[in-house]
Amino acid sequence: MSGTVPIAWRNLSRQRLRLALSVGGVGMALLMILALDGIYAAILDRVTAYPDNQGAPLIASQRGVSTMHMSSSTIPRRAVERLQRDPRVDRAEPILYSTLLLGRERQAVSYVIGFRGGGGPWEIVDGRGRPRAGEIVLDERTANRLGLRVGSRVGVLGSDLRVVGLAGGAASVLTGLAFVDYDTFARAAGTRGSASYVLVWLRSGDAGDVARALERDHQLTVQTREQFSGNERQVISDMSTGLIRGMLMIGIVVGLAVAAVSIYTATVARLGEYAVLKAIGMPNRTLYALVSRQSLLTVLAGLGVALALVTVLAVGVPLLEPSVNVAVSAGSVARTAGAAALIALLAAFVPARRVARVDPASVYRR
Amino acid sequence: MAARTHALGGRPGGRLVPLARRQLLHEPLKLGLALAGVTLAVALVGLLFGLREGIRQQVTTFVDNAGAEVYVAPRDSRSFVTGGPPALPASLARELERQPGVEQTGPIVSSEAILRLHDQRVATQLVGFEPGRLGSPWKLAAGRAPARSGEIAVDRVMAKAHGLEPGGTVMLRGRRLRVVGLTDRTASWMTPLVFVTRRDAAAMQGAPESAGFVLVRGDGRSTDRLAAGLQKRFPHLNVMTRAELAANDRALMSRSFNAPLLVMVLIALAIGALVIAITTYGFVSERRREFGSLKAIGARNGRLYRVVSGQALAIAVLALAAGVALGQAAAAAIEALWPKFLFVSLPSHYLLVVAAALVMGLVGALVPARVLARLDPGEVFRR
Repeated sequence: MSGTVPIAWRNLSRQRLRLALSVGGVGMALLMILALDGIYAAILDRVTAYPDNQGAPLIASQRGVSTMHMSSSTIPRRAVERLQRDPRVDRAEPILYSTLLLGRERQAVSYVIGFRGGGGPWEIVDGRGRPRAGEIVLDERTANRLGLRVGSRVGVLGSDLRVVGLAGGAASVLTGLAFVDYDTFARAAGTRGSASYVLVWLRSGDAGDVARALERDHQLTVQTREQFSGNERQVISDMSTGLIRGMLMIGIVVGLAVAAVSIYTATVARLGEYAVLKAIGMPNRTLYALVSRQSLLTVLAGLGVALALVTVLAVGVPLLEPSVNVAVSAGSVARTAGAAALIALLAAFVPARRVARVDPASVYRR
Repeated sequence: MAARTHALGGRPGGRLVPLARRQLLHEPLKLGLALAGVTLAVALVGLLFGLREGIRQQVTTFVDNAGAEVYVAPRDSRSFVTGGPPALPASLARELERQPGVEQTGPIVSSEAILRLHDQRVATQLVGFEPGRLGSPWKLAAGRAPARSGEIAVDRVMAKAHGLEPGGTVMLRGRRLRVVGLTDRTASWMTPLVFVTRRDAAAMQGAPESAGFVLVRGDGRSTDRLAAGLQKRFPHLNVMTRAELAANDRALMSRSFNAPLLVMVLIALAIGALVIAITTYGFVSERRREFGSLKAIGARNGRLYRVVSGQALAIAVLALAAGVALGQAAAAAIEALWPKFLFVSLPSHYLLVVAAALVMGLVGALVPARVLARLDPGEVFRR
């Protein structure tokens, strides 16, 4: 370490404006990775908001249906009643579910849940959470998007429903969440007594074991809340993995180009000084290390800038567009730091070669 | 140097030395790296806009190709992708067929559905249609369209990705269905289309005699008049032209993608501007003495700004051309490797990318321009 770090740092810090531009450029490239990762993570978080918060340990669905997102499920009335009579079941609450377009002039896509006893909103920020016939509870972001408040009316399922409450923590970039009275939903959708899903509370026993037993005995798909949420996340993940990976690769390549041009520019500006170092006996290996340290310092500072900016985005973006969240996780930071280290090492390669070719005798020719 | 200073002194008619170009070309590696950075930023902006338009177009694949001019839906159902439960009687199709101006109809059920393929869950848009009527698959790559219960036709691209062929089986909502055909031009990144009979799709939703939409084809007269006439006769339903329904679906999709897209585009623009700033600043800071000499012999700031701005814009324009080409090549490569993705470039996208490159160039020139403005001509005599 002795001696080389100060040289690397002095090289960088002597021209603060250049350093600021380089750090900014690398920071923006890393921000792209962090922001994309954060938006994606927030989508995954929010996509499981309903199963995570509805309260029941088990969720039963039509056989072969294991998610709400991108699915529809129908359970006949008799199957619901049989489940309600099962001695292992303390309480079984049917819910109706559909993805619908709310509003007429202004529109928003929303998951609409029809519920009776359980499965309603878990956080109410205004009004009340239990809609009666002809009433609806909207998540607050969807209400904002549609310009609605408690007391407004919204067109859904062929009727004008009155907004009686606003729910928090339910909307995602993909959809909002709305809650209506079960019978209102059933009448409008013509469900003829069938339910979409059944939320199941148990008398006792391990949730996983009882889920398997109920699945076997009732010819339904019965999952624990955790399994259900895991499947929801998996569907989104399977759909978007290729796209997200592609975007991350673009972020890394752009970051690499920015870091390379920054480090190269900073190195070339100091070729004379490198020649002096060579003239006084510094081996190429040490010069490589010097350039690599410069690269690493620039990229580390860029990572710091990216982390600061993504924190600003995490706060600011939902204020501008309430349906979009940016979630910064330790895993995401670790992945970005890994990408940053890769960028730093590769970006140092080109200027290091240039330094290796510097002729020490050039010092005496000036 | 003499010629350079004379020209840059700014007397009209003086021989101009292409200082901006010489500086740019003096360090080809640096220029190459800068071009690479800005090119990637431009390509990324183009790819993002192309992907957004591709998703918008894919979301209306069924509506664009099913052959119907008018869609009849329950009241408040205004989107094909979020049509809601099948709340119409399937018999409505026959009633509509008897209306003046109507030539052909087809009741369909549409819903999102997840196919279990190997260990993967694949989200699809399930269409239930009546064989021989509107709503049937419009192009088959292999096999035939489903004709009876228990049969399914799946999108060709999805089938290839999962090793499905006619004769195979898939599980859908607990039912095992036999693949009888592969459909063409039905791919989508989000939800490729799969087709079963209407009765099967409706039965899966517990209402075998229902439909979500009735597709209507007119007898050649005005689509708008046909839709208006049907709306008048069926006021409790929602009657939409194909264009209206497609516009609704595209608007819904755009809304979901606009905010994340804007964040990514702004970041890409900032990256491009910073790369240009780093590069042009490098030219200025490495040649402080030369610029100082020019100022000392009378070159005005305006002339020097033009040199720097010219460099910045040259990088931006070169990167624009390279970025557009790279974006197109990358889109073509992605489509070839993963055909479920569609990138569509519109003329407006090119305008946006050109504007983006110019913004990057001009913003990138600001920093070195400030340095030049503060440059002390006396500096040249102090070393």
